[in-house]
Amino acid sequence: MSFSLYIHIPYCLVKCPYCDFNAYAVRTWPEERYIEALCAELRHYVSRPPWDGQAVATVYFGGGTPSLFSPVSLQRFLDCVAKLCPFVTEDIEMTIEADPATLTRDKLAAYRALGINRLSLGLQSFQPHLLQTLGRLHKAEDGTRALEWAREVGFTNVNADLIFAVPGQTLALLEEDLQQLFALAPEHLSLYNLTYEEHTPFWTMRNRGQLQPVDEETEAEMYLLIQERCRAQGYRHYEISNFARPGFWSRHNTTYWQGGSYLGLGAGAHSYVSEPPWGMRWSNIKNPKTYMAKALTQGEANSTVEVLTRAQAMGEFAFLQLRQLEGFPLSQFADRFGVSFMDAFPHVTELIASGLLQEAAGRIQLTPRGLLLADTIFASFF
Amino acid sequence: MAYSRQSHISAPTMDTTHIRNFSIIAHIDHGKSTLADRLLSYTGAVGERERGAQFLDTMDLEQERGITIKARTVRLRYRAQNGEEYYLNLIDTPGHVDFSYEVSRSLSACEGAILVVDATQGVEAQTLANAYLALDHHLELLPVINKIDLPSADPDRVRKEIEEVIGLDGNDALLVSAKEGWGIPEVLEGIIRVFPPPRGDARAPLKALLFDSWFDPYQGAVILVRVFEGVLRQGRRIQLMSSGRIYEVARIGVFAPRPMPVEELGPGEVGFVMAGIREVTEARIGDTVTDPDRPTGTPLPGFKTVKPMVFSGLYPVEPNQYDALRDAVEKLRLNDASFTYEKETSLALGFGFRCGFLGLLHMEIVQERLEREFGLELITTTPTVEYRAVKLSGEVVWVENPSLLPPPQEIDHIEEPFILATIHVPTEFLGNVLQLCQERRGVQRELKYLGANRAVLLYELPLNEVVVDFHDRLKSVSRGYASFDYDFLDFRPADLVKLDIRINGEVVDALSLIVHRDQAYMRGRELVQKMRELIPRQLFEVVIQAAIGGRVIARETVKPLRKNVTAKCYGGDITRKRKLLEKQKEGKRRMKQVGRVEIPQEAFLALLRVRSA
Repeated sequence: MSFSLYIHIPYCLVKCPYCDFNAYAVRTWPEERYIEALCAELRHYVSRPPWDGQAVATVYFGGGTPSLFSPVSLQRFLDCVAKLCPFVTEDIEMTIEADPATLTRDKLAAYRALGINRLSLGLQSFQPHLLQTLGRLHKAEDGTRALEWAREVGFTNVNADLIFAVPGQTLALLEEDLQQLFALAPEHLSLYNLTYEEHTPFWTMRNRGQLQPVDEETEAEMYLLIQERCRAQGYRHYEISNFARPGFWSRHNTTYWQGGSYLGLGAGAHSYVSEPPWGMRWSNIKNPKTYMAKALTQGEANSTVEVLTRAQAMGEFAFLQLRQLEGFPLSQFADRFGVSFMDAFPHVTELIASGLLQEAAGRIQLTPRGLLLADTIFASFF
Repeated sequence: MAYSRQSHISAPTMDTTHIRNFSIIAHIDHGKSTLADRLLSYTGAVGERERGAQFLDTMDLEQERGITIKARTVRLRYRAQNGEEYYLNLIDTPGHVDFSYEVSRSLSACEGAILVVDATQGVEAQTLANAYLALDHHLELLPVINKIDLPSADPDRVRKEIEEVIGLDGNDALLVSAKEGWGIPEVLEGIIRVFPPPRGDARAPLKALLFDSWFDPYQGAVILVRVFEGVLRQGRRIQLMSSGRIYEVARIGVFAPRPMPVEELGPGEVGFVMAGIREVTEARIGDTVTDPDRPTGTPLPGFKTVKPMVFSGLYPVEPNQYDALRDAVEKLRLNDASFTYEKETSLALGFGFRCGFLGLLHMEIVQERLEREFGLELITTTPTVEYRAVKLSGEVVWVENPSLLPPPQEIDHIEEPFILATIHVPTEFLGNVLQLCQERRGVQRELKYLGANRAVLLYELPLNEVVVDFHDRLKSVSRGYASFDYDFLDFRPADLVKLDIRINGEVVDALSLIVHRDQAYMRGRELVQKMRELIPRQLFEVVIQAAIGGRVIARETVKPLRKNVTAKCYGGDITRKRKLLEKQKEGKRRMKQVGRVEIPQEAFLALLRVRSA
């Protein structure tokens, strides 16, 4: 057994108006102390079951803006990992999310030198006015240049994030974004439909009519266009919002969808272990200061803990696995829950008959139409 | 009931010349209850301290609405200017047309009525209706112009209206301010002078009118009676002639105004009787009380069983309040024989009751009492009337729920209830009111002018056109100046059709309605359009149709849901995502299923609650 390690860096230079992640806009940040807290947490967990003696399969620096942290700081943390977790899989995947506005060529080279072998760039758009709407600090050319630098310093596995269905975006503008994106030839693409989240400025602005969302019909067409163009470029559509060249799927994120255990460190980070019997989830204190104080004194900084019921676990299994276009083998569900998927959810027969799900070679998966209506389908498992 | 065991008062059973039985009648808010209070306090029946709260109105609600729901009666002891002592029985009547039968029975117990007219507003719709009702019962009328203390009072104009509209001598009208206590002695003297004393043979077989009843948890039904002939004695047996049931009189008393026992009630007297009658439904208003051993040969005329005219579904907002609602309607029914209910199940609203009311005000009062006294939150469906469907076989089916109408091929014709509406309106709004009545399929019967500025309209209208918002519309087109009263007329054949709403081919029972053919198309369009706005997009296309029988007259579609997918599954925060899905599912659970289509309850409510404008 192995597990994934997620490290949350909760600081940003500005908070994007659509973002509802645990992130705080700051001028300065307590880098050293925060790294100490992360190390304290790591020390606490890896000496205890179920983490002790397990190999680390992936490391993911997410945020916030992890690229605010200097390579030296990240090295300190990775040294802790090397010391405390002797078992690391040979082909470990190590990702860092980066905001083009925070990068230099040297910084990228230093990250690469630490053994970080996957770079996830938050490009979001190539259209200046859409970047402005999204409240991003970087310019389109910053994104392009960052990707070029990444190549130069030896990143061979690069992801680019793009957001679509931004107010003001048309199908034609999306097409332009896609062409510029393909020109950069990243190995992996995350193409996210803009979501209006509660408690964000975008949510309020939309409700007040200050922001005109793209209509449902156009969103659907955008999504279909993306799928078509990406496939034509040789990307495999493997998860609702994710596309990859063969062999370049995100192994870290796949852990979430396939029910693997992951240990989240840092303010507001989430963790999951698949035992006992139906799994357990917990999350850390969100406020960075409070988090650090507790992690440094007690080694852990939990805020919420949730032990799943069998019914919840079955529902989660269904909706997480079905986010992947390949779906899941029916036998896997039966093995875990001791009941067949069809018996646990008899309405699946209807979903198949309605052309929303399909069964093929012992696997169950979304149909192309089901992909557009995934949330409606997912809700039916609860 | 508090029952004092103090000295029994010997009633003047043989001498009726010193008794007066009377009512006070008025348009709403013209000051009937205030006048009654003044009479009580002047004659010393009520102490200073008890004044202020209007004495006759016992229920909170009555005081708030300024109307009297259940009749009460009070005996006043009055020493007149001629030095003699009189017993004045003030028989209170319900103040609204919905209770016109009860009003008529109360008036039957009287020889006279004080007609109160507001010195500012003059004769209004109910003034006239009540005056005619009193005259129909051969009562003497004593007109009183009230509120003369108001700066805007115009007694001369009102005198003229009393002459011209009602046909009484305006010079006889007394000028009063019940609020200030002006003119009260004149009213009391007027009662003795104008109203005749009752007459009746004490040796004849017992003949008494049951004109009110209510439920007492310890005594069962308590009845109010007016004796016409013979003597009602404690310990003797009585018979209610409509049912033939026999009871033994446990207690007799009068309200003075506290309940006070007496041993007997003779001709002309009014009092209450407790006789172990278990339910108010046994004690029917208008019934004749007699002696089973020596029954009267001539029961009192005018008895009838009252029938609800307006129907509405009452449902608890929270389904778990159903039991509480059932208990509450059972309790209400104990005191209100004219209120009916039966269990009803609605697809949209769950379990509830189909309730019958005498009229709109009665319905409002019952709803308010359920909400206020029993703490229930209610959903009330649009009121409807009862239709009379005559089948080809000759069989008559009463239809109070449109979904229960027999299939069209079995129906010869359908009849609907008609009312005669009396509307008083300033002439500047006459055009608006005429237009409103025309829109509501009204037939004008009479238009009279009262002087230069006011008109009285008599209109025959289908009750169905009045039950929902006629009164509100009338007030709004006349800026509040029109007053309205109505009487039930008869059932008349009409070109009525059942309008069904179909969703993906399935008829939604709860939304069926009976409408006039001329209005069917418009109503159908309104309904399907509204429905289209309220039904969320589903995984498939939803077709909404309005249909008469097999013929579709309006159609709308809700396009299928195109896209519903969350792009991002947060950095490991699966719990949150799961909760969103659970919430989405919970939202679906609250929807009502018609075939495969999910319809939010709000959509039903929007259609059931109000008539779309």
